Amino acid sequence: MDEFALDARVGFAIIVVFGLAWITFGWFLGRKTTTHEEFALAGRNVGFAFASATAMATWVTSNTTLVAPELTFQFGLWGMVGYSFAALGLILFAPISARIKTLLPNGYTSGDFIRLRFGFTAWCLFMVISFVYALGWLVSLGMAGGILLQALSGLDYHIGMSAILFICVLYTLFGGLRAVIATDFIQALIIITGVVLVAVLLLTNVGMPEIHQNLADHHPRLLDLLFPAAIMFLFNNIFFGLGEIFHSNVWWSRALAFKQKVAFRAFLTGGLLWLPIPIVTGFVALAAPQLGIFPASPDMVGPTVAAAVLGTAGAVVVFIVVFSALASSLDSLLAATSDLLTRDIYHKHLNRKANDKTLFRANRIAIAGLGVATWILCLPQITTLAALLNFTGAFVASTIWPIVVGLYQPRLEGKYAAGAMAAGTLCGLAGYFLIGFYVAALIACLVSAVITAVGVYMSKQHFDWDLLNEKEHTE
Amino acid sequence: MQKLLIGILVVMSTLGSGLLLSGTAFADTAQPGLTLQGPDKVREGYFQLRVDGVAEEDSFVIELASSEQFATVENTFSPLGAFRQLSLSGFDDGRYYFRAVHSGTGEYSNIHQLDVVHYPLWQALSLFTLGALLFISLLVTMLILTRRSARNHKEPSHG
Repeated sequence: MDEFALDARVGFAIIVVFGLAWITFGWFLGRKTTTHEEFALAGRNVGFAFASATAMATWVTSNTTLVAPELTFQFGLWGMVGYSFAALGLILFAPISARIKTLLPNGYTSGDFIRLRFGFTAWCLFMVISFVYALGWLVSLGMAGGILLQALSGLDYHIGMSAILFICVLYTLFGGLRAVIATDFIQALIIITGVVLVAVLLLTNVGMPEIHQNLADHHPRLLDLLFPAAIMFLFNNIFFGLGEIFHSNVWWSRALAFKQKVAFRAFLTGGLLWLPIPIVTGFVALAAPQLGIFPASPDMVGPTVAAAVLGTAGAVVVFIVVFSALASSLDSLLAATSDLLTRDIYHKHLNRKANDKTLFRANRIAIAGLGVATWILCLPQITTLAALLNFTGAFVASTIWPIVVGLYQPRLEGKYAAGAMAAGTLCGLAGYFLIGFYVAALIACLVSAVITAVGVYMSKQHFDWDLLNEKEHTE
Repeated sequence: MQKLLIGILVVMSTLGSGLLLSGTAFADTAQPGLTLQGPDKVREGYFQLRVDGVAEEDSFVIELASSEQFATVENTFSPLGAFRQLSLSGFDDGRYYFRAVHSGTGEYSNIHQLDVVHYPLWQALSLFTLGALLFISLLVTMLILTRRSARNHKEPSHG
C-alpha cells in the first residue's frame, strides 16, 4: 500500500467542520451555566440515557480505537480479546459508584474522598498518581489525534495533534461537564454506528480464510493462544483498566453527577456496551499482513487497515469515529482533571475562602493550562500509545485496593493506604523497566493488595463515615 | 508547608510523566548509502525496522530470509507511503535476516540480523496464575464488603 486513504486537505476539512460543530454545541450548552457546581458536576442530576452514553463514550477512546488494534497487531488474538476485558473496569465500578454517591453526597472529586478518608500524606501520593495518569492519558489522546491524521492522510503529526487539542480545549472551556456529557451522548451514537458499519464492511470485503492462512504462514504467534508475552499482558490489562477507572476523577465526577439511583445501572450498561468494541477495532489489525500493510508505528495499524479495505468513504467514516472517540475522552479528562486542580489544590489548599465565581474562573484557567501542558508534552512523539498508557498502569493499579477497601472497611488507616500506593507504584515501575510494560499494573496491584491486607489487620481505628459528608463553605 | 508540598507534588507529577522522555525511538544516526536498522534481539516477536539513505520520492522493500546468504527470500515488506520505518509482528522463536532493496536502483542495504527469543512459557503462566488469583481475591473482597455494607443499615447515617 503506497498511497494514503485521504487527501490531507480532506482530513483537515473534516476536523475543521466537526471542530466547529463541537465548539458551537459546547458554547450552546454552556451558555446557561452560572455556578461552579453546574459547570463541574452538571447540577448532579444526569439521567440514565446520558449517564450510560457518557460512561461508554468516555471509555471508547484512543485506547479502543488505536491501542486495541495496536495490541492485536503485537499480541494477536489475546491482544484483541484481552483488551475487551477492560470493560470489567466499568462493570465493577457500578457498585462502587453507588457507594460513592451514598458516602459523598456533597463530594466533588476522588481527591475529596482520599483526603477525608486517608489524610494529607495519602492525598499527596494520590494526587501525584492522578496527575501522572491524567497527563499520560491526555498526551496519548493528543498523540492519537496526530497519529490518526498522519496514518489516514499523511498530514504532519504536529498539525493534527494541535488541531484536535485546540478544538477539545475550547468546547470544554465553554460548556463544562454538561456540554461534555451531552456531546458524549452524540459521540456515542456516532461511535456505535461507525464501528458496526466498519465491522460489517470488513467482514464482507476481506476473506477470513486468507487472513488466517497468511498469519499462520508468516506471523504464527499472532494466532498462538500460548503466546508468552500476550499471556502476561492479559491480567495486567485488566488491573490497568480497573486502576484507571477506580481512581480517576473522570469516573468519580460522573458518579457524583448522576442521579442517586442511576449510577449503578449506567456504569453496568456502559461496560456491557463497550465490551464488544475492542474486538471489532482489534480484529482489523489481523488483516494488516494479508493486505501488505506494515505501518511505521503499530498504533497506526487500525485506521490504516480500515481505510485500505473500505476505501475513501470508509476512511472518512473511520476518521469521524476515531475523532469522536478522542473528543469524547479528551473533553472528559480535561473537565475532570481541571476539577482536581480547582477543588483539591486551589480551593482546599491555596484559597479556602474562594467564592463560586472565583472557582468558576479557576476551573476554566485550569482547563486552558492543561491544554497547553498537554500540547507541549505531545510535541516530541516520544513513544507508542500503548507503551505510554501502560507506563501509567504502574501508578493507577496501586490505588485499586486502598480505594475498594477504604470505601467499605472502616479499619484501614491512611498510613497503610499511602504505603500501599507508594510501594505498589515503585514496584510496578521496576517491573515496567526491568521486565516489560505488560507486568507493571499486575505487580503494582499485587504489592498494594498485600500492604492493604496488612493495613486492615494492623489498623485499630473505626472510621466515622459521616466525616466524608463535607459541607461547603463557598460564598 | 502545605503549599511547599503541593509545589513538590506538581513537579513530581510532571517528572513522572516526563520519565518517558528518555525515549524509545531509534538513534537517528544518518549514514551514507542504504542502511537498515533495528533491534538485535526481541522477546515479544514484534519490532520496528528503519531504513535510511533513501530519497523521499524513492521507494524500497525489506526482504526477509532465514540465512545470511539470502538464498531464498521468504517474504518482502513495503512501508506505508513515504514512511522510512515499518512494524512487524507475530514472529516465532528463531534467527532472521533482513535487508532493504532500493526499488529503483536495486541497491542493497546492510544485512540486519535479529533474534526472536520469546519468554519461557512457565514464566508467562506463573504471572497469569498470579493475576487470576489476585483478580478472584478482588472480586470476593468486593462481594463480601458490598454485602456487609448492605446489611449494615446504620452506616452512613447521612446516606
